[in-house]
Amino acid sequence: MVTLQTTQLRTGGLPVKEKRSAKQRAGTLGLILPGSIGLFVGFVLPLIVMIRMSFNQHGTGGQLVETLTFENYGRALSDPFYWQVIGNTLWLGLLCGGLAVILAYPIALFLTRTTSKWKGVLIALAIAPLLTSAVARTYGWIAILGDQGIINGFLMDTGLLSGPIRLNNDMPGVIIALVEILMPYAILAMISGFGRLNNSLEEAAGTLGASRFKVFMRVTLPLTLPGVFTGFLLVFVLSISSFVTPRLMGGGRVFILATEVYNEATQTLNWPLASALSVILLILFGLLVAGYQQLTKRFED
Amino acid sequence: MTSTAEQMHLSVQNLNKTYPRTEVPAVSDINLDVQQGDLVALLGPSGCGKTTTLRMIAGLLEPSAGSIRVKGKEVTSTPVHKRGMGMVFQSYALFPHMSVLDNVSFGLEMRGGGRRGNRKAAKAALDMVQLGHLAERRPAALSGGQQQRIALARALAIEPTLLLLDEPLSNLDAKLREAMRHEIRSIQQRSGTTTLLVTHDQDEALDMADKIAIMENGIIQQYDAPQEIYEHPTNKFVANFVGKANFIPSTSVRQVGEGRYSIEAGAFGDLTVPGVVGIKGDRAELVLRPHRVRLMADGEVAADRPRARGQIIASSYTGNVVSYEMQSSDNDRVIRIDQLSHPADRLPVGAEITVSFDPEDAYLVAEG
Amino acid sequence: MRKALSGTVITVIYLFLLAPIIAVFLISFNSSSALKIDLGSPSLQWYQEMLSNSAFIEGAKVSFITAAVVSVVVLVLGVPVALAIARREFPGKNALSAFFLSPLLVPSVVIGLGLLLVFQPLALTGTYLGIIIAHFGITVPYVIRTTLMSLKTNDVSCEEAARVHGAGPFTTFFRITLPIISPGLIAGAVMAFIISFDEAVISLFVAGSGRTTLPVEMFRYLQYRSDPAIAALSVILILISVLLVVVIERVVGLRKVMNS
Repeated sequence: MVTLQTTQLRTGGLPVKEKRSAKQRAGTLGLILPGSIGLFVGFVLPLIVMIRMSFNQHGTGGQLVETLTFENYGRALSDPFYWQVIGNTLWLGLLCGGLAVILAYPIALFLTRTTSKWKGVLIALAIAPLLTSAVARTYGWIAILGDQGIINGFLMDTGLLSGPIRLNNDMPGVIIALVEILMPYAILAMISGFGRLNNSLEEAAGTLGASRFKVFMRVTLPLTLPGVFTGFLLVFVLSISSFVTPRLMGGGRVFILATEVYNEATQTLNWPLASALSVILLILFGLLVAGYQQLTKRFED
Repeated sequence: MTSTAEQMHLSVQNLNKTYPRTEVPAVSDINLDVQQGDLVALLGPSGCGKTTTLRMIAGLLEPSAGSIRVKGKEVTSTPVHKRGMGMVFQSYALFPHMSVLDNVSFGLEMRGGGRRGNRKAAKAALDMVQLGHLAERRPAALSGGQQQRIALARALAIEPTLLLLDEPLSNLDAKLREAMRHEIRSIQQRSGTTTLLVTHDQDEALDMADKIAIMENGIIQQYDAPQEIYEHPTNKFVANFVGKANFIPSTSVRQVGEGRYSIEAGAFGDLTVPGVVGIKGDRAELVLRPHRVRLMADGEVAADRPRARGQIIASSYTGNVVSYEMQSSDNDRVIRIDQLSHPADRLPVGAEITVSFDPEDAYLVAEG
Repeated sequence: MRKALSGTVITVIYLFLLAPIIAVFLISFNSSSALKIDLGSPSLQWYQEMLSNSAFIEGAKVSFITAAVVSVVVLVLGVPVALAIARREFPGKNALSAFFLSPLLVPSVVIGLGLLLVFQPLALTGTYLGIIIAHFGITVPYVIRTTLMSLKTNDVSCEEAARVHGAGPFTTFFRITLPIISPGLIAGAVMAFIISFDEAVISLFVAGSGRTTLPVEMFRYLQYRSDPAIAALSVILILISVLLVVVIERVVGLRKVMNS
């Protein structure tokens, strides 16, 4: 205590400690404030305005009525069409997540295990598509699956078909394209989740007399399951919020929350309803992420 | 107090540190006076507060209370970059994007001065650690020992008021570590730089330091010359931490002079031994270093020496030394005996032996 | 046998993964407007067509400018935040870092709609400022992550060594911290550039009837036509991405960035 007082006397007035930490606090604030303001303006404020908007009314003449009503949520949740839309959204997420995981698993396992000198290139090939435009890749799928696209063209040229089969402008086309577009995320999540897997564990199981199938079921699969879950969730969440691919591949015939939000916001100009649908999408999203976190917690325990 | 503090090169008074959101202080009431040109080691197990103390002296950590003075000048509130100290980090912390020479001249450059003069001084510092020929290399291309020496050159180039060494040798292999001990010590003595060394390695501290501060639980347990620490530990922790020790429970403790006690030391019977001044109560523990315990030859008589009989229950061989563990015949305690080894006379487990020691070689401390 | 089977499976999946890129590449050299692959007489007519489309050229200009500005702004505002999170103690630190990563957890359509609602009354739709603000939110998490990653892998002791040996806070940052973490910063900026350049959804919402980016122009074009001009454009975009990916790979390693 005595020492503290002498220190105070020496620096005159404020104790050294408080003077220094006040300066430091100001410095820290200076570091985080500009970025925080940027994120507030570009992210938080829009969300707040949107949530507020969801309680407004879309007047009969198309004008906006400032009020506080649950009408938009009521409308969205009572109309069977929107239930269908929510159902479609979840179905799309489930299917894409499942298919992407099934296709990504062998690749991830292969990339984790391979000792090829091309490993780096192979990893880059598997995940680099992430960094190419989703519009460009969707276009690629239109070119492959469209009515005049590569597959139909080939089948008709060779006389196997007289008219095109519908691959595009419907759910299957959207799913095929989305699976391909989002698969790199699943591969990435799995590669990083497979860290605990190493060949010696599997070899050890093998030397203990387990068959290849048993080794896979008892060692490989349990060790890789957390990565698989992360991959699934990532693709699920990304596909229920995807817009470009469902819109372009779906040709206006695939209705999911994201496309409906866009339609209401830019075509019908019913902002309150678009906002309510967005909030519903946000809640779905939040529930899934929270559920996933619970699940991983249990996994880690 | 004040007058000695003025004369001391470094004087730390009542230094305290309690980290936010913790109850127990990391360091409490550290007092440390270091004379000009001395090398003082802060020695203790990990988590004892030695690094915290060093970082507060460097200015990298803010003390909760207390004062630090260098050459009589209060520096407690001086920002780290204005304290003029040099420091070698455990990880060396060489700047990876600069050449060796730029690393060494960094501190000089921060102090201003001409570029040519700085480079010359940096070159001299590099020559001092015998690495002048590596000036243009990048640190990553060098071995651990070389990086260590460059870190030392960087710290010394600024002719620091105080050289701080934070576990500088812990990342080196055993052989190199020993060589570096002597090199650092000799450079330190040649340059006359007052130095503080943080280490958990007692050999390092005993070998290099003029004085050692033994720390535990944020408190300095003893601050003394190495030999004093080893021969006259002030408590059981110090005796146990520095070197190996047998602790013989002693009863009927009675003071018979300044730092002299008469005791009853179990199987060894009644003795008069030196000890810590001011032991209270009638129970204490006698510190007996294993290599001061002597195996007696059959039939040997040493009337004036305390002795005990027992059976060897374990032995281990480490080349130059054989260690035995003896269970004394009154089942009292296991005593460890270190003997310089000789191939001819290693005793088997189970052998009956008699041991003795010179009471003046033992030292009484309070019960731990 | 088993090996051949798994090799085939891996190859097929890789082909699926790369199918649209391959298709786009082949189609871009078509001589007709059909979407089929026609290698008989390769032509560059769609590249010419693309270059003469003023909407594409304008969109590309907007995309380049916004992506460049966004990657600089996001560095200037994001790096100090990462620095505070990695190197300073303050209450609410975990909340702050969660806050800065949270845009990744919100669907683009939702952010896009919110921005539209904010921008419309302020007449910010279809402006550079609007697009830049919109892209800031979705790119800042990446810059924070890559910066944090490099700050965490390079321990503080270099900075402490600089401080002890006489460097003040600013000198330490510019002479020591910044050069050491610069690979992470470059990676973050390149990521921000790519994301901003390729982003379509949010840009679509904030485009209004004014300026808009290349992906939005492509999206609009594709709603009505799907001739190989888009393929030619896509090839160019893919090549730019590949180039940037190579930059990241050279500077820090791709996987490190993506995993952080």
